Amino acid sequence: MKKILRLSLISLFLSFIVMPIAVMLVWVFAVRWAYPNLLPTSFNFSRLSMIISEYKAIQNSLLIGCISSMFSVLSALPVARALAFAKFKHTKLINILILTPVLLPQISGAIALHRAFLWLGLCDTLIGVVLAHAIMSLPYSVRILTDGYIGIGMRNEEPARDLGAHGLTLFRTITLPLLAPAIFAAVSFAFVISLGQYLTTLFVGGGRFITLPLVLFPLIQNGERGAGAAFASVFVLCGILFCSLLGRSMRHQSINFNGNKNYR
Amino acid sequence: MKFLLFIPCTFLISVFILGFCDVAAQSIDFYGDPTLSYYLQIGEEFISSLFYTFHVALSSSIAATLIGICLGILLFGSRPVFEKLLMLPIVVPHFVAALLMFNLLSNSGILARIFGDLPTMVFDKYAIGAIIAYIWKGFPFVALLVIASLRRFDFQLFDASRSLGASSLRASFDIILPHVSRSVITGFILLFVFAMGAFEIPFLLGASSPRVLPVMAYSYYTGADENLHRISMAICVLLSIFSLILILPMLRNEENS
Repeated sequence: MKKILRLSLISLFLSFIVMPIAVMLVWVFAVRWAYPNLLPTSFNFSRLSMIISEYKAIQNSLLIGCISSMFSVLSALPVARALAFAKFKHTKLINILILTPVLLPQISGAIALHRAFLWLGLCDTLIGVVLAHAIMSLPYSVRILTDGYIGIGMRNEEPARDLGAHGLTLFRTITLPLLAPAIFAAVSFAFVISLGQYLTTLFVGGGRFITLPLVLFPLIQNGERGAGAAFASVFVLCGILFCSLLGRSMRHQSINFNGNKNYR
Repeated sequence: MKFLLFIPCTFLISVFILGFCDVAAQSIDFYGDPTLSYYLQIGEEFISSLFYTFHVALSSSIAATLIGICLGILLFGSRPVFEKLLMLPIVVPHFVAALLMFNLLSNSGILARIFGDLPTMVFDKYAIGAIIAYIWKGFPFVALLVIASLRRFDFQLFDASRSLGASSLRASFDIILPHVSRSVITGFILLFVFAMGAFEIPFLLGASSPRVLPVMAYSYYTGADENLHRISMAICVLLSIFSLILILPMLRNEENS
């Protein structure tokens, strides 16, 4: 009895997650679905060609996503290591400073970035948009990598250090293989964050760089359900890809964390 | 030498913080004629917007937190596929969540087709659509925090209390809930503060009057009038101070644990 109650409650909540997505996926293929019909009256695949016709936006999104996520993770690696292992007084303050893009409200952050990039002269440039996305994903990269470093601990490096390895060699042979799941998680998450940036791309890019969110946003504003569903499903598919690839590595990470937590 | 490695990260964060300092400076016209007048010009719309924003943020965060706690406890120990499913709303952008709820809740949406006459839930003055969109994005986040917190919990304490005579329910309340509460409160504050400052969902699903503070700041900033730009920056500064006041104490507590 208790088990049935538990299962039915779980299904209720999970269907709240899944049902809107399912409805949206039907909208992708529905060409005529007027109120009050419960099912569309005509289906076809024409919307898929609509998605493909916006290949420039998809290209921009992918390009900016890849570059900004890699830059974000590369910038975050040294800092994450320092936050994980270095013992110095101001780690709390540094942590808060790095978390600033997440702590400040979304609209404040977007306007702040716009002002900063105007001053830097990087508005309306690709580099500007990439850097802006990297800034927004940096707190998450640092956090994921810091947890990763804490999880692997320093004990694997010390023997190698005693034998003479240091710097890049040490990183490449010892740290990198151990940190790989965390790095993969950080890059993927930074990519997903970059993919979903709207205000940032709009302000810093000045409308010159059309990415997927900039295509989708006006469609939603105008209530274009079908076209909106088509592009939104790209995001949902990326999300599903992310979740299925990463669920596993995050689980492994929590096991590692518990195992090595007390050793520094 | 090693400091060179910290330069990219320092650069990125400094750009952001200096940008915000510029926003604060512009809001008091620091480079022209320093004055607080832009703050005073925010006007009466500010009060109704503030309440509307508060209403949307508070209702959605409380509901998301409660649902998240239930789901987290229910899903603890079950198959990994459920956790992956929980990550999906977190990873999907906010405007997609807005579209999903629009499909569901608008006057010609799916729920209206199934159940006939429903009250207006989109663009309405109670912002029900926006609140539900925030809940959809928020409760999986809280559920994941609860599950992570339960993983760190030593269930022997639970068994010990049961062996001393506590009922299952009593033991849950007195032992598990306090342990989980730290993560839950963190999650709630994060959700609340985010909703206070977020723009996408209320812009797409909320009413145009009253409008949420971030939407107000956005419209002012994207207008042509320079004065309005400064007023919007004043709104941003106020929202930021509010967020920092709520989040910083929580961060200090977290570090001390």
